[in-house]
Amino acid sequence: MSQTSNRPVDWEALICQYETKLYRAAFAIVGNRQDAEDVVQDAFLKYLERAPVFSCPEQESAWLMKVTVNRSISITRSIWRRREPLPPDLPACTSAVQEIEELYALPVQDRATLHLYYYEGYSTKEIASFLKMRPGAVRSKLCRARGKLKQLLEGESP
Amino acid sequence: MKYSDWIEEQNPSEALHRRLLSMERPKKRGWIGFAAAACCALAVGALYWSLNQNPSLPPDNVSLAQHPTVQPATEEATHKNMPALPEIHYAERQNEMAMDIAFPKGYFREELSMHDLETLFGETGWWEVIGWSMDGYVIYDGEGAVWQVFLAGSNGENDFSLGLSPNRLPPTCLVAEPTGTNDIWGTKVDASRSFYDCDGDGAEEYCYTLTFLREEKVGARLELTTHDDETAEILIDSMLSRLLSPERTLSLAFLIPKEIPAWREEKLTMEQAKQEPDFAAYLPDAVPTGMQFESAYLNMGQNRNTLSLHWSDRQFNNLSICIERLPDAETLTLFMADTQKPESYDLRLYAGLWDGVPEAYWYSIQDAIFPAEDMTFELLEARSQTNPERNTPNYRFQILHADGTLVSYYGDCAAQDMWALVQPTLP
Repeated sequence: MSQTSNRPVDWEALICQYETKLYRAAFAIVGNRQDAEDVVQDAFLKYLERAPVFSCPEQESAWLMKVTVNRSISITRSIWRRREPLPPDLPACTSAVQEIEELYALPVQDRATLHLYYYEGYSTKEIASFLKMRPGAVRSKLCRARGKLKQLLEGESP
Repeated sequence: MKYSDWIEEQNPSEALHRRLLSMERPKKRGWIGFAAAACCALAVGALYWSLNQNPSLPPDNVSLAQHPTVQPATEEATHKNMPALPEIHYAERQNEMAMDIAFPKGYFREELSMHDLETLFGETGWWEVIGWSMDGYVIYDGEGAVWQVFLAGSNGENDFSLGLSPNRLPPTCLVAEPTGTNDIWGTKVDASRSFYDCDGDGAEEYCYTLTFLREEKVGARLELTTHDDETAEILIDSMLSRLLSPERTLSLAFLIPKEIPAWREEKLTMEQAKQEPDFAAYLPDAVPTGMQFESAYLNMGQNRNTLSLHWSDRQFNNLSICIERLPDAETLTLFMADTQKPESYDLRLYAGLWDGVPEAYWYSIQDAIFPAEDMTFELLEARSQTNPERNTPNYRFQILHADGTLVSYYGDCAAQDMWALVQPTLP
């Protein structure tokens, strides 16, 4: 797709590079497909609005991830949020279903912390910066979640 | 099923992909604006009700000093009659963006005196009257000009920070959400607030942000976190009535540094780095095969004297060495590994940088420091982690030398290659 005059970068390449990454982060926090897609759309909309300038790809990635995580957390508090009891397409085995239920019963910031640490590989210090928390609070959340989600997180390392 | 297996089954739809590709930079907000406007209306309505119910805030045209709920000033705190602040309308804050602040070249810091606070606010001690502490410092640039004033205070579990900058808003955020705009005595004040667990302690707080640029000369950003909105609004009322009072000028021109420390900030070649006498003894003569020199950055100034170097193989592997001449090595006690206790430094005993780590060793496991005289190949091996995607090792550790030099290593390479960098620097 050719670049239009009011879009700041190679738009198609940007979408292809980040949409799945941001979608998975949003889904991990909001727990349903529709809200996760709304969050991703908001994140790219904000990118278009702000047209931020980055000195390196890592900064661009972190910026988009912060927008996504913060928007996901905000949307869970919105009174207009769609309510679904559990994410669809649950795995077949019962113990995994139980742990997914436990995952989405965690506070929203705990889910965000887990995803950023285990899946995205951010450090506790970086996560503390993302979520405006103390690094100690990040470690506490990870420790508590680990206790509840043994099978889901066993063997996972950042 | 593992978490990564579960999350990798979640993928965006083709419909989303098409919508994203077709997006254009908007001229005005669509449905997002409607939601934001609705939230603003809800917040404004709630605040209007709150202000009219709140007995602690003064009615119009009554000064703070005359209001019955304000404690009388002490002899030390000269408490002046301030004009009553107009009502502030807050937007509901839906998002917040926080980026790291880059201080200017040659920056240095000086603490603010009580006399400085008196000059800034026109009086001293007014914060203590309403139950708050306050202190702060100034960051100057390398030429001695004020870059930003940082003030902070607390009232039990409530706390605030106030940034003041000359001629611009303090650069705390690069991106800001739309906020409620107010006109307070001719100055535009943007205000937003939200109610959520902003510090991750499990309890929800009121989080306020107010910004203004007064007469294009002094920019301010006030951030406040409180457990009740009444406490917040008393502080905001007291702070803004002094900073925005039409009866006095707000200025940072009175702040002059006592002295300007010498400083250097330079990007160096490897050859230039080897000429630096503070650091040359800790630089490697050779690096692992395939690693190419990327950069060396020297940063010398008030309480800092650092050389940071970086190499990479231009694919996945990196090597970083940071050499610091420390003014005070005592501050590193928390990170010192006990070489007699592997549980304080051996990453191989744990699944990750924190997993199952006793609280007493959190810092030493994350950023282990070994005395140079005790450093061995075996201790280096204990600082290895394996990258799960590439099944390759990386190492992270620091060495404190007798002259107060701290050298930090991070490398994606074999243990023998890391040791070849370290061993020549040891006593």
